Amino acid sequence: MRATRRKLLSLLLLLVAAITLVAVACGDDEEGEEPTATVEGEEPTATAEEAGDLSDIPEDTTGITDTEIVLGTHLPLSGIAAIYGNAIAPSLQAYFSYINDTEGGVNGRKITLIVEDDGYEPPQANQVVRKLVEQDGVFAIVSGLGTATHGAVFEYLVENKIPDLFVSTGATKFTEPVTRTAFGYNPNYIQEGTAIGTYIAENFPDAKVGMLIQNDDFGTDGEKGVRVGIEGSNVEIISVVTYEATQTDMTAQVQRLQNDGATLVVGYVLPRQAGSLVSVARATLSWDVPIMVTGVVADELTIALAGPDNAEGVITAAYIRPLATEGDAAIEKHKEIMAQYAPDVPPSNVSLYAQSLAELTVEVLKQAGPDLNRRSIIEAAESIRGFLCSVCIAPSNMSPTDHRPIEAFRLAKVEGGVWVPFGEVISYESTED
Amino acid sequence: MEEFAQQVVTGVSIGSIYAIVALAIVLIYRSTGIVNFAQGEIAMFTTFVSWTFLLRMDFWPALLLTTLVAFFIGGMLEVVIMRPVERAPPLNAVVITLGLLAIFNSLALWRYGSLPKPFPKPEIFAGAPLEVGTVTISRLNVGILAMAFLIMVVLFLLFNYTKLGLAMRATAQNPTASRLVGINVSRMLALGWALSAAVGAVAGMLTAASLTLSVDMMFAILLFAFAGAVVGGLDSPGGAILGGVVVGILQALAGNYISSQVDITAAFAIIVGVLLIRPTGLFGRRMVRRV
Amino acid sequence: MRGRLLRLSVLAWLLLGLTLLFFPYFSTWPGFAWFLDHLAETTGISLTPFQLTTFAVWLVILTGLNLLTGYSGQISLGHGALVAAGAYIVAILLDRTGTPVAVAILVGGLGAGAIGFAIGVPALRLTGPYLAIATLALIVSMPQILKMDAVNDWTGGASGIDLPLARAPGVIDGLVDDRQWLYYSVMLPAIIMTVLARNLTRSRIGRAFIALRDSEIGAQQMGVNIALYKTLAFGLSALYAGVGGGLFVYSQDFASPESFSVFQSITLLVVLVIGGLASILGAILAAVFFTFQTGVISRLGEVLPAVDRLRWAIYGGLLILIMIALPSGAAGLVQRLSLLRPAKTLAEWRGGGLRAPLASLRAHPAVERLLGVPRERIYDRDLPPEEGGGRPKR
Repeated sequence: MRATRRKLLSLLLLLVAAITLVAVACGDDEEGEEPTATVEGEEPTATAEEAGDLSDIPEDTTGITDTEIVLGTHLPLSGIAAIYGNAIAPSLQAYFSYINDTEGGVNGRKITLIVEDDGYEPPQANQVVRKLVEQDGVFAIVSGLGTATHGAVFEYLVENKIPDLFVSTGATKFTEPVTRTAFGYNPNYIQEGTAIGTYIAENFPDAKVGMLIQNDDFGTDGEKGVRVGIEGSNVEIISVVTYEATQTDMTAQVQRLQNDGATLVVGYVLPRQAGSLVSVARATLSWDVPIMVTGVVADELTIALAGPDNAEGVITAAYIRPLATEGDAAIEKHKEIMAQYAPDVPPSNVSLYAQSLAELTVEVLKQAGPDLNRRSIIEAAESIRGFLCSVCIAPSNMSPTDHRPIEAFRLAKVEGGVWVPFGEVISYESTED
Repeated sequence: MEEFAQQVVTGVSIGSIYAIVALAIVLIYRSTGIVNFAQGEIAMFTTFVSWTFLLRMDFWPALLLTTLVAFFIGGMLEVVIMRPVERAPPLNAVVITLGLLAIFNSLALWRYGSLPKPFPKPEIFAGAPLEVGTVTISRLNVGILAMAFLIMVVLFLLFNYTKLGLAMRATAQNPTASRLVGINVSRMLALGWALSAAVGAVAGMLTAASLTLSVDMMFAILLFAFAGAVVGGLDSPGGAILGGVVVGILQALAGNYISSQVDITAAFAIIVGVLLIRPTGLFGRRMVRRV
Repeated sequence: MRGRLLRLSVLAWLLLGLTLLFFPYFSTWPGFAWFLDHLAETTGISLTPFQLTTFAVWLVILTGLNLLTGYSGQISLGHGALVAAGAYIVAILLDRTGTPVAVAILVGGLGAGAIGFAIGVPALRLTGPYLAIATLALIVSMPQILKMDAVNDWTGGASGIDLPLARAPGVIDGLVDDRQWLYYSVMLPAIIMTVLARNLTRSRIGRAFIALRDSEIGAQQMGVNIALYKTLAFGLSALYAGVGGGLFVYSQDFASPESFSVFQSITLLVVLVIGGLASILGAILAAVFFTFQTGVISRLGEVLPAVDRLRWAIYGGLLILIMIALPSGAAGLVQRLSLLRPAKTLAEWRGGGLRAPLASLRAHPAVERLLGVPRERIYDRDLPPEEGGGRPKR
């Protein structure tokens, strides 16, 4: 009796399930039209045609009061990329606090940054970003970090027209094609790779390049860039070896590069692997091969991990002046700000990076003027021309068709245990001034 | 052939670290029947402790002192946390060790920060790599393997030729009977944890010397060490060392001859293959279900 | 008496069901919204439709894992790999073909189920930690497999697959907005699958699972085909994982190799044990933990800045405490507290519910040493033996 009833219930449920599924199925056939954003009040501003049409971005003032601008960010404070989040988040906070204290914020509004930990896991990023937008009511997302984690929330931010300012990754997919509300920050890895490749072609004309790359877009974009840079020269890439982000011992990979007969090694790697790459090559294998690495690891940490003696002569492409630059007033100022507002975080090239990003954010907020809203901030960001942040190598430029502020590099080399810049500024700037 | 030999040697040097961590895992499993997921984090934590010792002393005295600290921590963990769940289902014990993992990870992050730190190598393991014919291997990795063997020999002597060791083995195999013949079972279990933490401390320091010290240094290694311990057989110390080295060699060879894009996958596929042929590992005894 | 109990518990479930059914509408009602805001502010539990959608996704996955680990006793540390299989099948179908979502999710479930069934066969040879490591191998290898050149074009490699946000179909425009639509299209299948799992565990199959978990030899003697039911458990559990993965990718509109980490797989098992193995309520509580734990933990850090950087240590400590006090998970406590049955007196409520966990906490050697051996411990016969009752003083 009971069993029959249960069977009936199960059947009933299956029926309901089937009906639901059919309903869902029908639903998908019709692409729901764009929800018509209800723009409050005013017509699009006159600059619209000049800066491209921004009229479908509402003049939304969520997160803005007369005294405050609330921004949000998602970063890894735990998990495998925690090193970055734990350095960047407090450095961003430090610079915003400094502006709040010395200049009373921007146009009378103090900047508040809400930091959420995404653990470098995409589902977690999705949760915290929705929380920032729907519950905390942030005005914009700033410095979202990580290709995969930001990838998980990108579509959501775009659809809801939340300004997505200065994504902390060089992945091309957030800025190409240009989405009006989203802006990158790091120069893309293809351009950076091109700079490295060009340097190799000019200085090591017969090099046989072995590449050690992370098995993701960061690595493959870097590889593409180097290939562009060496095009038309005698340089060839004879070996590309990959690793997973969780692997930190590069012995087998470097050994492989040596066996393959590489005469120059390029690494698209993170600090831990950069340290292993350099120390394995120099100390374990006594291999005196020239080594070049991505600007992502142009940090004191890499030198410390590799051992200062081993790291001597390693070359990178940087876009922020290194912390060790002597007699640099802006960098001294940065150290002061950090000492005052983030005393637990030692200044590093990463904290400098964070400050440069915060400076650009403040500049954009200033440009947007007192009448700040989600449309005016995009407009302001797209009209940034020639803004040189205090610690940058080259000015930032953006336009309606170029959402990457930084597109210039300068090479740097480890000398005496610190990064020292050399050579000319190499620019791939796409915004005409 | 030469390339093959070099890759095998590279695999051995990667595997040496897995081997010594696997040894610590086996030690706890053998004496308490628990797979300890916190093994890596406890080792990482004690390595940070050793780092503060190293500011004041040389490598070897620091190693000795750290081992003692770890021995104490391991014993305390058993007494304070594991004892009440001695008879609980195995999954409860697993969750508790995962809780310990979170605790040690968080403590280390709070106390020492997330930045990796360079870690000194002991004098005799530094210097130019050893060359055998055309094949090179770093002194440190040879040293790690030597340490693993040394520990294994000591453990072998302990378990086979001392009253204490025999009592520990008896406890693991049949706690009730052991209690009846007058063995202090609780003390033996605590000793198992203490010894395992001590071996873990040595493993942690040598890992840090090889790969730099950081809060997350043991996570990936632990997975491979587990694989090594399982391949060797969870109750065989010798098997653990061999298993760890085998996992390292598999990874290096797969990276070289198949593709570095699938080195982990290939290594694990072979490990699972081995398990399917020998379900309790190469040297493991057939498990007898405890009732 | 029994009839009354049944009706009351049915009433409670019905109430929960109705709340869930109308939640997206409730959540904007002034009073309720105020309550929800307050709840989020004070506890960090943010009950938004999206969070509940996430809960529903993990409910399906954890219910499946419960069938495998809780009922049939096979440990899987790599369940995320099966979730990923379902998620990728669905994502590829939606990305490349015009397959309707529902069909795609069904295919994803069946595909993952088939994979699970295939894994179940070799898994027959392995038990305990050996099986755990073999399943762990699946999730550890997952990222490399997804990024292999051979499948790169389909899976999108490391960048993963981006799907458009879930949209309400045109026909019911105005009735529900996109967010509500997503809520219903995930919550409804989740509830249905949970009820189906409940019925399954009370059927012949469920009893066979439990029999072979408790004693393989005994089950064999009772005529249970061990190999068949063990692989069946794997297959069914993978089916749930696959559907869960499909719902996951539909609600997250994104899948990448990083979406399914080793850590996540291990956490699934942890919350299931904390929630309560071999209990439908346990899986529900597990999904609650899984969805809301990070919010609560980070709220804890905000309330007590002093422990902000130690919040995961507190989390670990809680895990340990729960395991010591509640060996059968939170579901065990809820059943003891008899929430679905009004207690006649406060004493009965306390006696039935809180006494056992408190006693087992009190029986902890460290606590005991601190407080001295309690008198009641000597003749604590009214507690079942596994909770420390009836055991003579050591």
